[in-house]
Amino acid sequence: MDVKKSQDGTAPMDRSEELRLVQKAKRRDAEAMRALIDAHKQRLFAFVWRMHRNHHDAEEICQDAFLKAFAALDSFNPDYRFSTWLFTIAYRVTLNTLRKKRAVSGEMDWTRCASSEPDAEHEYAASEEANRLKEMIWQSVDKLSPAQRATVLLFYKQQMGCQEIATILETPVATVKSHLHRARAKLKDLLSPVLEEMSGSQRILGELAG
Amino acid sequence: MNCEQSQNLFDAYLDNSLTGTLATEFGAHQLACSHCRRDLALLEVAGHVVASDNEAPLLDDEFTSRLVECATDGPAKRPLKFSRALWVGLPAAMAACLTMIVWFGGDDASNESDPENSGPRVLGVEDEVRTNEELLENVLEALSVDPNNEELKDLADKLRAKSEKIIGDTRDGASLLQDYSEDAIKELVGSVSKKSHSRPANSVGENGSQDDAMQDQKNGSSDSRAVKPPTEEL
Ligand SMILES: [Zn+2]
Repeated sequence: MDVKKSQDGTAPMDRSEELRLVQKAKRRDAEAMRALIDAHKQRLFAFVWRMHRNHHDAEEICQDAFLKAFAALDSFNPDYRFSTWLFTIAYRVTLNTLRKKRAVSGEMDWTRCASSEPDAEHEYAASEEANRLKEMIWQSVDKLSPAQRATVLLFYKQQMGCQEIATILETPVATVKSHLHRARAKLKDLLSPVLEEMSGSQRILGELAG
Repeated sequence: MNCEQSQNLFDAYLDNSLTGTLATEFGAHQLACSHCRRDLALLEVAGHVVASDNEAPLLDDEFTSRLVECATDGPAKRPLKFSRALWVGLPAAMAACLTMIVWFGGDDASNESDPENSGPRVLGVEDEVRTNEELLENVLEALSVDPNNEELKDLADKLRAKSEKIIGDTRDGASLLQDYSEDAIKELVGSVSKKSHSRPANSVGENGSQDDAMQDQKNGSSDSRAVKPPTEEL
């Protein structure tokens, strides 16, 4: 079953189709599982990858999340989207992995996060300075706390509302709003001086505004 | 409107919830103030950059096939690495968690203000709990058994917040542990002991009191606590 349509590989799945697949996946139907994985894997991976910036970790967490989701499908609440359930599990695993990593290494290696490779195909029009600002934006996102980072990624990239994010982070909606607020404040504090140093800041912002 | 007031409205503006005269005043300030205008544009651009992100590598079909194979054949045939799968066993986790609650709640909370009494207690916690996340894992395990337990939810929120701080912090482990002892324990002892006077740790039923989180949820279907994913370590 080919559901890969968008850049994410995640064509939005019809609700009833999703429930039908979940029912079949409960009975360990391989094709249903395949369809659910294909429909969600890239979106989930994009999120987890941005949380870790490590392909191996991100892939492992996604595998883990899918297997846990499938293993516990009996307790899946059909009032929710399968993606919400999946992201909730993945976020838990992500947090645990970050904690364990920190316990092993002593502290997070933020420098690793700075090695974002610009995508030539999508960057050709942007000036060097715009690319630098973009790079700085990601470095700043990486400096947010995990919950703030997750909130920003889910809100902007995954286009989720605060309610759904609250479900995934297993936290009150008010906390999500606070994460978003603090994240923006921190991004502003980190990026404002960078932009100030650049000449033609308005033009640069215009380039990145899309 | 001054710059501070303007910046306080950035969230509302970015979330499209700024209306009426406030929106007009905000707009007027942006026209007049290049500083706020630039900061606002910066945040909009940051949001746009995140939204249009497509740098994550693509997962291939092999990923799907491997997963399907694992999911249909069961754990015995897992070719993947699952180093994190340290299943502790629910009863044990539950017992450990409740032991902690009883232990936290058992002492008089007034001790926390007494340095002489709080000293040994802090050491005891370090010995007993070791790290924040161990306790959090226990609490999450317990929560999966008793999802309505308000004490556990509260405890998990606090521990999670604490872990956030720890992860986001770059100080060395020793000072973090100190910090943990100073702040988090006071918080935990305070809240848990207060609540455990009125009801046992694990006896909140279906009609357990709604906390702030619940009041945030506008309706049942959007209750953030209602989705109960499997426990972290299946
Ligand atoms: Zn201003």
